[in-house]
Amino acid sequence: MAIYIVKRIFQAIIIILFVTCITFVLMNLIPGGPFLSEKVPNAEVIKNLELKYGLDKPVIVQLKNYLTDLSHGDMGVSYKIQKNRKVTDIISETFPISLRVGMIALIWSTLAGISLGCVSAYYKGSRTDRIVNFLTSLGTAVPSFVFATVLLIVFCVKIKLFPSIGLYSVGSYILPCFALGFFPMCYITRLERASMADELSKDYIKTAKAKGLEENKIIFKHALKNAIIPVLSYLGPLAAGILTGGIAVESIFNIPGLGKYFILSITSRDYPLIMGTTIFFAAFIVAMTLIIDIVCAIIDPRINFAEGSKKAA
Amino acid sequence: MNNAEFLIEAIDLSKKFKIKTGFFKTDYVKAVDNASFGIKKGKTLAIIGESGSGKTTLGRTLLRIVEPDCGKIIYNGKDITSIKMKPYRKKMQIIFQNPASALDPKMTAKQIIAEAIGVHKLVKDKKEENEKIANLLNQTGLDIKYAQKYPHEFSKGQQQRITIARALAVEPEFIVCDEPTSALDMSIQSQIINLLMKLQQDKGTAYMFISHDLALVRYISDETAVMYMGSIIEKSTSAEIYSNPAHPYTIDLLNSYSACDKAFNFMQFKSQPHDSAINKSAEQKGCAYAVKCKYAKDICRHIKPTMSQIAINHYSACHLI
Amino acid sequence: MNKILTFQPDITFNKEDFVKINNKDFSENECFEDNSKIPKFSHALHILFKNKAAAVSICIILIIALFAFLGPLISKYTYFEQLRGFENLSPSFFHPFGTDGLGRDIMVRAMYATRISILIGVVSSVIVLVIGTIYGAVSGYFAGAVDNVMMRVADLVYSIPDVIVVILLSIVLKQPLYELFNNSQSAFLKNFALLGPGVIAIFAAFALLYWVTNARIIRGHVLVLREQDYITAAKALGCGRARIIRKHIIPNCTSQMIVTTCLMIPSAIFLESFLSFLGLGVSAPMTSLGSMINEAMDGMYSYTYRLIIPCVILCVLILCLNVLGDKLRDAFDYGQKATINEK
Repeated sequence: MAIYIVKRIFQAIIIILFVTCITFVLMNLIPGGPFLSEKVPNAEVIKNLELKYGLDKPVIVQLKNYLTDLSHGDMGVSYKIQKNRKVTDIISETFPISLRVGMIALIWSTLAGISLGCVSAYYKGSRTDRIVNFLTSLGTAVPSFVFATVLLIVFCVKIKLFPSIGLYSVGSYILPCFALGFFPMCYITRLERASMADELSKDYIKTAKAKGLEENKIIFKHALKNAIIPVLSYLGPLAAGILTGGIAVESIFNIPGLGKYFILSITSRDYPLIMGTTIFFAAFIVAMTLIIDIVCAIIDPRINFAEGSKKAA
Repeated sequence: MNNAEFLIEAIDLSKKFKIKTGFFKTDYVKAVDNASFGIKKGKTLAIIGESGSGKTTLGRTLLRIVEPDCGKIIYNGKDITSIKMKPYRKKMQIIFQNPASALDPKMTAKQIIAEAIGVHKLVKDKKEENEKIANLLNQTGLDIKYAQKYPHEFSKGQQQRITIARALAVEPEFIVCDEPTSALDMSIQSQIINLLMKLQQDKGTAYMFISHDLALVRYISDETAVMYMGSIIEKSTSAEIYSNPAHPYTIDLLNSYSACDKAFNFMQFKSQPHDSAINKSAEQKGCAYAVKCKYAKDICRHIKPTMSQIAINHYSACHLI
Repeated sequence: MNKILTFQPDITFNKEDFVKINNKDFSENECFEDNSKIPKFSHALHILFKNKAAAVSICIILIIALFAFLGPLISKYTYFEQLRGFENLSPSFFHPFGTDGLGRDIMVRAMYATRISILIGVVSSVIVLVIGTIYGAVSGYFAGAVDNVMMRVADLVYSIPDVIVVILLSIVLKQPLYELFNNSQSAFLKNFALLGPGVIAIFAAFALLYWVTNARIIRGHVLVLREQDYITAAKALGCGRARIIRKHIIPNCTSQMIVTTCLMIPSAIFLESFLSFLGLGVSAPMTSLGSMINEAMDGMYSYTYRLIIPCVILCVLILCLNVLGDKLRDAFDYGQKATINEK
């Protein structure tokens, strides 16, 4: 068990380092550099700017400097969007907003997905099941940004129920969180329905029924415990999906989260900010996946630690 | 015995398989343990033994489909243990137990046979190839009109005929028959056996015939070797083995077979040496059969018996003989 | 010899049993005892077409494909032609979906957009198929240490955050690709230039990241296949490793390849529309469903239908492809189970 966790953490660190290096090298491969499109095409000015940000040194040295800075929690300063402000400051200011929206979406979609999936599996073949099945297949075909725009038009423009811009009241959280969590909710419902139906048809459930256990107890104590494992292992990719989906949803609802800054930094070529956000996003996603994998490993006794993830795959 | 007589000879052939028991620990199972034997041109050596005794591995090691850990394989007087096998592949072939899995489901009968011909470039052009395939199908009793069919469209017996045709396509001098009839119905079994016998008569092919069907083996083989837990424990002409078995295991095996054959006492058959549950790991000392042997003495449990000649052309590995 | 060993040979053996059946008189009566068995592949398709949802999705996909590939041939407008004086028209007989702010016919643009989206989906899936299949087949066939290393690499690639890397790639590739395309003389590259660097980034991302799922599935199947006797037979015949993988292993993975490809197409379309929506995918004047949604965002309050058209096409397309992929997988699973049961 301990070996497994150490191995996974080691792997996670490698991935983050790898992504960092790739990001850095890729950003440096872009011809022209960040100041070429500035309005002052003065060679002198650019040279001074490059000197100031240490861009005149070879890439390897820059990478080394960047990595040492990164290990001290320093990601450099923004070149453009908020000039000379520290990237870490921008992230620490905007990320909590994204995190809040993301967490709400994650929690509601998981809870709703699991309960809907259970209901649907329990009443398999009934009208409820068929309706849920149909709606969720529809839902898994709608990208979150499409759903967000539809929500925006219907509820903010046509009905004017919620404010459409920014995050100033509790009401303004509803739409973005709903839009962000809808696709995962449908996916989790389908996942849970399949695994729950599979679980309910197994022999040990029949035995439990034959023993005379209460229906509730059977479902919640026995079946759900096993049927929830596929959903748990999906939480890692789900967290990543919500985070990246958030990039689009934040631009649509004009939420000043990290996703919006990511897009802004891309369109204005603010390289340190792009790099900072990319690495931060990547690290966050990898960390989430790591935590969820470890939780799954603790919960699911079937994963063989000696063999690593071999058996599970 | 003069070694030069043998078409193919195995000397102290051994093969261990890894089994993972823990994160760092690896254990070994001896699938073949110091097996030595030889097969003469145009003759048949039968290997008998219970399931799991390493017969199949022995056959595959001999063809170097499974690489041996130690020991030597001599073919026609030449050591082929560690040389490039390709030129020898067309001299040695194998026929499998389950014909359904031995044929690529995505290839027609013709393609399957053509591949064998194509790999060794045995023909010059398409016309010659077609003739050869027709000839092979004819030899194995299949109609040429079935050549374009896929394996699942054939019956089991016909599938086995195709595997035989494929093996014959390269005109081998030696074929390992790995229980070629045990997956087939009784009536088809005899057809396949007759086919193999006929081919041996016509072409002088040598067979290594792996089986657990003792009656069958007695009928077709010139010599018989008995395997138990990876080692050959007795070896002689077939007539000698059946009329005058020496090793206690051979006796038990033949007895259990006759008991089963007559439906005499089914329970007796079950309690007979049909148990692979005993520790097969590599560290085992002494005779492998000592645990179950009625006549086992102290020496059996501590010292591994070696092959010794007990009569003309009759070898056995037992301390008590 | 010790006297303790006693043996009574008691095998009733009749040589006649083996010889009496003539060598020739079998071939007709044992023929095709199970001719009724339908081959696995067409069996699966048979199951597929009997399923109503699958049949409907196939029809809808065909209709959308016709719309996308034949539509532009019939229409007299093109996706880039700007009709002066016909800006911002509402839907009418001549312009069933109206025109946009630059006077371009939205229906033709929707056709082109669908075409581009489908093409990107298919091409990315083929890229993934080729890389994933080769990687998975090699890893599964060699097994042991090679497999271990290759699968650890796959694990690493799998945990790289994909969307982030795609976005990054599309930014990075923009400039060099733009220069490459505009400076080159080849017509092939010029056509690529129409699609824009975002699309190349998508292809690159699929080639670099998305093959993992496919490779894992193929590897799992190959691990089963390599134990089959026909692989041993091929080895005994002297076939080389490359030949065995090419001639025996890969053809026997066909059903897995079809299913994974079918499920990969919608996710590729999904990713493309996401990037285009962010303005990083297909570049103007060429269009895709995602960039049409992006363009329509500006006037979404007054021209809502412009937003709805690409959204509906996109969702219906993804829905049908999803359903088709799922049912296809079920059908092949069922086919496989059926064959196992028969044995």
